[in-house]
Formats: sequence, structure tokens, C-alpha cells
Amino acid sequence: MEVSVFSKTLKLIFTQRKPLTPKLGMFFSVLGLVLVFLVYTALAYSETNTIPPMPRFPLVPRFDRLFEGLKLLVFLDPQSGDHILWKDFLVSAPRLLIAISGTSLLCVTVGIYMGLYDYLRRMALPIMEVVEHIPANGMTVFFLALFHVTNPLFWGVMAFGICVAITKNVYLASKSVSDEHVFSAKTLGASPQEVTWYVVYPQIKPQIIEAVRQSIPPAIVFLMGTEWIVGSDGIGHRFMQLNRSGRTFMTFPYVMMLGVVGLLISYIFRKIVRLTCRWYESDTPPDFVDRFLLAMLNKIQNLFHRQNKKEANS
Amino acid sequence: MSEYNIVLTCEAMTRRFGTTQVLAPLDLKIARGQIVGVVGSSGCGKSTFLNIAVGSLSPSSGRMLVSTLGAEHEVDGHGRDRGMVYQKYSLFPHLTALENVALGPMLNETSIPGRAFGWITGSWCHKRHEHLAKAEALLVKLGLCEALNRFPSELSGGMQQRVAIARALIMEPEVLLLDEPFGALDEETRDDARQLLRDLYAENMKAVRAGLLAPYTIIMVTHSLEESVSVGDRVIGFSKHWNWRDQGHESFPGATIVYDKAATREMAQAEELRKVVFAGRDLDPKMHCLFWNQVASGDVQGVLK
Repeated sequence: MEVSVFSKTLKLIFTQRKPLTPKLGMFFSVLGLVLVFLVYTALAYSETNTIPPMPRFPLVPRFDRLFEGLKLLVFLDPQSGDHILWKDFLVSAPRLLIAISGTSLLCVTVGIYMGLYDYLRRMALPIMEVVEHIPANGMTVFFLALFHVTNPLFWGVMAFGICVAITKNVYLASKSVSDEHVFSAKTLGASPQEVTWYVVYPQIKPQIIEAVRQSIPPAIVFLMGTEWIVGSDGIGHRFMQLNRSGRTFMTFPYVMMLGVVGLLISYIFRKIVRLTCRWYESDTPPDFVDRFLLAMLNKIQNLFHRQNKKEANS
Repeated sequence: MSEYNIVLTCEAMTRRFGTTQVLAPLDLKIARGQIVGVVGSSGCGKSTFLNIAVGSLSPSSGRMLVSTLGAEHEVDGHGRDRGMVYQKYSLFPHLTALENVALGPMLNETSIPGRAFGWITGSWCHKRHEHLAKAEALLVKLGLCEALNRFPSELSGGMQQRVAIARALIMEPEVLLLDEPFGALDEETRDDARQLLRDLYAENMKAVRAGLLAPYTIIMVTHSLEESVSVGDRVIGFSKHWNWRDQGHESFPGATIVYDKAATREMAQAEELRKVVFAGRDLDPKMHCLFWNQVASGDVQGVLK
């Protein structure tokens, strides 16, 4: 009996395109994390775990040092007298936010129109092909000459690095909206602007949100690179300092914190899709967070609707 | 023919793609209130004809005219006087059935600044309420009261089709164009869809008897001969096989209409259509294009009687 269950499970695991049972799925998700934890532990406690010029410092910090580093980051660092994480966040986050919002606004508009107007597509695609192959950090010198070490320098490098990816993703999404939808809208009397903003844009909103979400990790890389090279503050600059002083026990928790923040951002973006594009993936059952947020949204909408009805009746 | 209210006219209309001639010069008149089934083998120009009618393509020569409020104008691009229902219905996936149907009146009766700033004065709320009520009434009439607030992905094929027809009908188009309306439906839903078209035709008849204008003129491209003869009141057959050499053409001028008769709703006509449209023989188009002769001799039942 047990052998039969085991062989059935094995067959299920190794059959291509066969969805696992929820329990088995959860098992493999946890297994991935456990493996990472084991590899980390093995590295941290191995005898060769040292930085070559500084044999006193382990390259991969052990858990006690890791927690010490975390405490220094989150709470007050006695050496500098700063709340390091908070201080860096206040410098880098606005840079990131401004660059991503500005670039997204521009690139989403260009991408949508590229999918609708052939002349724009033909004009923009060759430029995008070129820009795509230039490493954004290579443009630091150019932006440095243009803006010196001010915020526009960081915005420029990030924008340069992510603009093509956002535009291309949005353009492909816009292009994938069927002609039939566009023509149907026109038979309903839609003007070109109405086709763009009432038919194409809402349909590709999930892909737009996803394109913006995907642009965040590279934007962070470009920001940190630029701050590392020319910055006098921010996360990248901090990494440079920690690296120089060999304080890997602080770098590691910092990196992990960035990972957690990234995970949180991804989660928020997914919830935004869920809330603002309820038609998208409507066959996926909502989890308890979705249900809570949707209930809140419905309440607000009902309030709004009641107000509208009152106005319409009056 | 002038005593009939002609809604759509083709005058020596042709279409070619590059060097390939698809449609030979077409002359056609469709009267208000007719439901016309268009049949033909694949690649015979049915869809090209439909795309010209909706405005997605332009004729290479000749012209197509549509009569709006009694005034004829040449078809030049898309217009709200011609509604279209595609084979895959093309409902906007981000809007519910109700919103899909209300979109037309919204686009038609309000402008972008009106929508953006109408909240302040309340005029937009009033209009929006009106559009939604109108859309709801039409959907309920078509038997979709349960589907009002569902997204297209949550509707069955038959429901989607009815929503698509409602979305087109709410604009009160002069001509409604249906591209393979039954193509993606199962047998049971097909019957419902056929019945829907028959009901619309019955409304036309009622209006004509009351001395009013028939509200629905429909051109329906279909692969099914049975449907073409059983649903509408006129059948048109396109074919690439006709005696173009005898008509003085040196090279193939494209497909043409080889069959145009009143629909008898009898299966014998489907058999006749099969022999004429799908036979692959070079026929004289005039032999079976007798619709207006039938009308003149009083052999036609329906809105033109």
C-alpha cells in the first residue's frame, strides 16, 4: 500500500505539465527555502570561510553575527550614531520612486501608442534596439557631466536603464489587443483617444503594472551602482562603505532586507492588479487579503454609487 | 426599386490585395429591415465584403453607400451607423456585460472633458445612470438579466454572443453586420441564437405593418447553408467560379455574387445553394440573382411584400 502511494507520488512529480496536489506543492516550496538555508549554513560554518586579506573576518557571517549586524542596521549604529537602514531608505527610496514613476508614465504612454500607430513603432523601435544594448551604468559619466552629483543624475541612470524594458513590454501588450476590439469600439463611436484610454489601456493594465513591477529590481541595481560609484549617501554608498571595511555581517542582513522589501513590493503590485483589474484572472479564487481589500473597495464604491444616484435623481 | 428604403448600396465595388483580385465589380442593394444571409466557400470574399461594409477596408474601386436618416453617404472608415459582431464576439474583457453594452451610448453621447468634469456638475452621473438603465433594459429583453454584472470570461459562448449583439443594437445602427454568428456555438445555443434573429425579424415585420421603419437590417456571413435559408429573408452566395471570360475579362477579376434570392426557409433551397455556390462550375451570375425580380413579381414574403 505504502509503496503504491510512494510510486504514485513519484509519478506525479516527474510527469511533465501535471499540477501537484496542494500539499505536495507546499512541500516543494518549503523545500527550496530549506535548501537555501542549508547551503548558507554550510558556507557560514566551513573552515575556509574567510576574507583572504583579513582572515579574522568570515566572508559569510554566522548566525550570531548576522543578528548582530541586523540589530546595528535596524537600531542605532554606535559607530556612526545613525539608524542606518532608515537613513539610507530616506535617501534612496525617493530617488527610486521618482525615477520609476516618471519613466513609467512616459514609457507606458509611448508603448501604448506604439502598439496603435505604425509610424511611431517604426520610429521608436530602432532607437530602442540601440539603447537596450548600452549598459545604463556606462551612462553615469554622461549624466554626471550633465547634472553633477545631484538627484537628476540618479534619476537619469535609472530611467535610461529601465525605459526600454517598460516601453517594449507595454508596446507588445498594446499590440496584442485585437483589431476586432479596436474596430468594435470605433463602430460604437469611439474617437482615437477614446480607443486608447477606454479600450486598449484598461485591457492591458495588468501587463502595465507587471512591466512596472519588473522594472523595480533593475532600477535598484542601477541606483545602487550609481550611488556606489559617485554617491555620497544612499544604499549603494553604504554598501561601498561596508564592503571597504569588510563588515560582511552587516552587508548580508542588508541584502536580505532588500530581498524582503522586494518581495513585499511584488506582493503589493499583485494586490493592486487584483483590486484594479477584477476581470483579470477572475477564475483564481481570492485569498483572505483579497476578500478584505475587495470588501473595503466595494464599500467605497457603493458610497460613491449612492451619491451618484442621489445626484442623478435630483 | 426606388420605392423601397435602401440602406446599403454597392456600386461597381471591387477589392484587390496587391495583385490578387478578390472582389469583382459588385452591384448590390439591401433594403431596410432585411436579414440577409451571405454564404460562400472560403476565400470567396465574404469577409472582405463585410470588412468593407464595416469600414475596416476600403474598396479598390467603386463605392459602398449607407443611408443614414434618409441621406446616403459613402462608407469611409468605421462609423456608428454600422454595427459589427465578430465571430469571437470581441467583448471588452475589462467591462461587465452591462458596461460593455452601455459603452456605446457613453462614447456617443458624452465627450472626454464631459466625463472628466461632469462629476462636478452632476451631468455625467445623470447620463451614466441613463446609459446603464438603457443597457440593462436591452440585456433583459435579450434574456440576460442574470449576466448583467458578469465579466465576459464568466459568460458562456451564447451569452457572450447575445451581449455582443446587444452592444451593437443599442447604437441603433442602420446595418448590423454579423460575422459567422453561430460559428463557435453548440447546437442548443445555436437554436437560441437563430431564434433571437427570428425575433428581431418579427419586430421588423411588426414595425412595417404598423407603417413604421423596420428597426433592424442585418447582414450575416455564415458557412451554414441551412442557417442562411432558415434565419433571414434573403440569401446571397459568393463564388469564385463564374463565367468571367464570357463577360470580357482577360484575367480573373475576383469573386462575385452568383446567387441572390429570397429565402424560402426550406431545405430545398439549401440544396440549390450548394449546387450553385459550391459546385465549382463557371455559372452566369445573372441566372440565380433574381431577388429584385422576385420582389417585382410579388413572390417575396416579409418586409418587402
